[in-house]
Amino acid sequence: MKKKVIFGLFLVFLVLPVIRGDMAVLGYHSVKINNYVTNINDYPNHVFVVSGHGLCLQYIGLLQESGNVPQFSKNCQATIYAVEKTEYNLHIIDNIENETDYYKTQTDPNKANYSIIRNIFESLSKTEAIKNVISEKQIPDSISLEEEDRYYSIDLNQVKEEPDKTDRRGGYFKELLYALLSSIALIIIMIIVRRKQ
Amino acid sequence: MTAGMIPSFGLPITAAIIATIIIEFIVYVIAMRQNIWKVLWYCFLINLFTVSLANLFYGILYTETNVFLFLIIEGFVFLVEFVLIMFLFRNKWWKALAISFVANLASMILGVFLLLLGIRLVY
Repeated sequence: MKKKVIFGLFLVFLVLPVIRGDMAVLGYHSVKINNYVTNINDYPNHVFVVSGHGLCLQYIGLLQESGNVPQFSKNCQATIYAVEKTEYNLHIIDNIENETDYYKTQTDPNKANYSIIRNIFESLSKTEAIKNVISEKQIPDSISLEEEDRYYSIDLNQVKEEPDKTDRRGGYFKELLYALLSSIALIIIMIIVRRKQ
Repeated sequence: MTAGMIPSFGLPITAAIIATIIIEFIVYVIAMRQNIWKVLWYCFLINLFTVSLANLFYGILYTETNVFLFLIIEGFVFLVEFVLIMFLFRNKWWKALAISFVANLASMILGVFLLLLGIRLVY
């Protein structure tokens, strides 16, 4: 019985550090990803619509003028579409004219009713500009990374799937610790082996 | 999925090294029958080296799509431990290979067990 208690306490000691709130996968932690489009001003005749899809709350929103991609829920993958401004305005007005007074006031897709926006979005003539955009990812706890900034530039002749540039935040503390510990151990091992020869 | 990779399952490196050392120490003692303190000291050094290095490589090489990385690193740990056991304990190569295999298998079973137990506690 005593042995079982000691063994149980040992296991609790080992497992306790893994109990964290809002942790999707054991041993992994979430990293927030901030996405930016760097050259939105190169396309003054377009608006860019962000559509989030996947195992998440569906999302449709406008890309902000600063180029910041709005945060969407985790497990979402977003695609950014380019829509010509004339096409966009025409559809928004047409659809909203047919709706109730409440929706007439909601000209911003970020605020309007989702089903209406989804219908408008589906009917738009649009071009895929960037796909596979994520706002969160899971990485092993052995990596120091805490936040990541991804920068995309839009080229309407091709669909971007990878960012042009990625900046990481969080330092390299864990990586340096592992390198230091393994180096110390290796030096001591080499000294012992040399003495034995 | 050895205890050496427990940090990947959420445990801090200190707990992972302690857990791995305890399991592998038992295997070493049974297999080698050498001075117990010397075995403990060498076991500590070997695991400090391999656990740290495994986590370092796992952190550097990790991508969301590389599902075989864990197995590759585990294979690497097994081979490094084999060499270190051979030189530190002056064992024959086949004995060092067998000890490294059994020790890593034992810590792998512990790692899987903790992973399953941990998931139950988290969810």
